[in-house]
Amino acid sequence: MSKRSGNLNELLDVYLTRLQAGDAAPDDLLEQSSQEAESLRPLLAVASKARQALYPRAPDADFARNSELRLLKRLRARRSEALRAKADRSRPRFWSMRAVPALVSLLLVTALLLGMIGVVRVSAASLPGDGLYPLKRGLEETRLALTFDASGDAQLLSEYSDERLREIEALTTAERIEDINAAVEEYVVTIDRLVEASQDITSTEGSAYSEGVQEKLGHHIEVLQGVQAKVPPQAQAAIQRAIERSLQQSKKKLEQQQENEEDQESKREEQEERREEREQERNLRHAEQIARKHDASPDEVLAIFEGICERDWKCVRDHYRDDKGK
Amino acid sequence: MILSGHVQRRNYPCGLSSTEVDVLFSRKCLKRSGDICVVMSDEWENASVPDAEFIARAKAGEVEAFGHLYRRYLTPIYRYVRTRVNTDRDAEDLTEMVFLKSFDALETYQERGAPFGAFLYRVARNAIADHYRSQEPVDSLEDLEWLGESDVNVEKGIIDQESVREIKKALAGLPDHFQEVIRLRVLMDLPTEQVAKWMERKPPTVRVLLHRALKALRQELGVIDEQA
Repeated sequence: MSKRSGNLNELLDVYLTRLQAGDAAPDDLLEQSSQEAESLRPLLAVASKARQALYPRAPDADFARNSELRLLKRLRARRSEALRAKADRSRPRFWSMRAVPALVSLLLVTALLLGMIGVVRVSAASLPGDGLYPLKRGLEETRLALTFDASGDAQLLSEYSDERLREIEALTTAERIEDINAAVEEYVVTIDRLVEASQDITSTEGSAYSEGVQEKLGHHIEVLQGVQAKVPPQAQAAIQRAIERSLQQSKKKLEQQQENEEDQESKREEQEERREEREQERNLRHAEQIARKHDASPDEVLAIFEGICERDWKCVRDHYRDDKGK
Repeated sequence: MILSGHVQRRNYPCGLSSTEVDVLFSRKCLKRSGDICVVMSDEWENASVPDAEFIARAKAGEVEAFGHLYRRYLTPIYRYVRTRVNTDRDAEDLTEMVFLKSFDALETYQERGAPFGAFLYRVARNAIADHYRSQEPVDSLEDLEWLGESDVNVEKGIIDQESVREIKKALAGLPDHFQEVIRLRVLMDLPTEQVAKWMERKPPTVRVLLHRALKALRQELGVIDEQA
C-alpha cells in the first residue's frame, strides 16, 4: 500500500466521522483538503447517500420494554427449571441413607462370626410373621447398602419384589391369611422403591431397564390376580391393594419413560442445533478465508462448497487454485 | 430518578461511549434540551459497570445482570439486524432470538480481547444466516419491494423510495465483507475501532476495506444508473 493511498484511507475515515457527526456536507468538508478532494468527494457522497437511504433507526421503545420483559421472564423460567433439576438431583435417595443398614450390617457380621451361617440360610425361606423374617430382611438391606450405583440397587430391588410376590403366594398356599396384610405391605414398599431406583438410571441402559420394570409389574399383576381368586374375602382387599399399586406404579413408570424419551429427544435436538451452528460458523470462517485469498465473496465460496463441491473444502480450494491457474 | 450529569449528544463528556448514549436515548432515559441532556434513569449508574462484571453475574445465574447487558446492546444489535432483514418485525424477532441464544452460549464466552458486542454480533450474523436459509431464496427485484417501507428518511421525504431501492440493490451486489463494512461503519456510524473488533480485523484493514467498499458501491450504483 503506497503512502498516498494510506493517507487517503485515513482521510476518508476522518471525514466520514465528521460527516456522521453532522459537522458539514461532503463538499464543504473537502474544500479544506483540495489535494485529495477529487478522490474523496465521490466516495463521501456515496457514503452520505447510502446513509441517508438506509440509516437503521433505533428499536421502538415499546418493543424494547416488552422484549426485555419477555426475555427476562423466559430466562427466569429457564433458571428455575435448572434449579429444580439440580435440587432433584441432589435430593437424598433412600440408598444414600445407609447409616441404619450399616448398623444392621455390623450386627450381621458379628452374627456370622458367631457361627450363625446356618440360621441365616434358614431365614432365606422365612415368610412375614416368622421369627427369622426380620433377619432375612436385614440381610437384604445389607446387600442393598453394599451396592454403589442406582443400577445395582434397582437390580436387587427387582429380585426382592419377586421374592415379596413369592411370599404372598406362599402365605396364600399355607392359608396364613392373618400374615397376608404384612406381606402386601412389604410388597408395596418394595415396588415403590424399585420404581424410584429405576427412575435414577439414566442413559440407554436406563431406558431398557424401565421397559423391564414395566414388564415385571405386568407379570406381578397377573400373578396377584390369580392369588386374589384363591384367598378368602377378608384377604382379597389386601391383594387388591397390591394389584392397584402395581398398576399405579406401572402407569407412573410408563409416564417417566415417555418423559425421559422426550427429554433425551430434546437434548439430542439441542445438541444437533449447536453442532450445526458451530459447523456453519466454521464454514463461514473458511469461506471468508478463501474469499479473501482469491478475491471472491464468501457467499460465492459457500455456494461452491454447498454445490459442486458437495461440502468438501479441499475441493473448494482446488477449484480456486485451478481457476487461478487458468 | 434524576441524577446530576449532563451529557452532550455529540461529545459525550461524561465518559459515556456513543453506544451507551444511544441506548439511553432509545430508552428515553435522557431528557433532551438541545444537545444538553439530563440522565433520568438508574442506567446512569450502570453505565460505568464493565461488561465483564455483568457477564460474570449472569453466568452465576443472575438473570437481571443479563438484563443490563440486553439494555446496553439492544440498540446496536437491533440496528445491525435491521440493516440485514426486510421488516421491523423480522428485526425484532431476530434480535430477541440473538439475546436468547447469547444467554445460552454465555458459558462458552470468554473475554479474550473480543468484547461482548463482538460476541453478540457473531451470534446475530449466524441467526440472520439461519433466517435466510429457512426462507425461500430471494432472486428477483420484486422481492425487494419491501426495501423502502420503513426507512425513516423515506417517511420524512428526505429521499425517495426509488433511490432507496437502487442503493439497496447496489449494496446487495457487493462482496459480503464490503457490505458488512458499509453496514457497520457507514450505516450504523460505528467507530472504526469498534468495527475492527466486531469484524475481527485491524483498524487499518477496516479503513482499506471501507475505501474499497465505497468505491465498489459507487461503481455498482454507476452500473445501475447506466442500466436505468
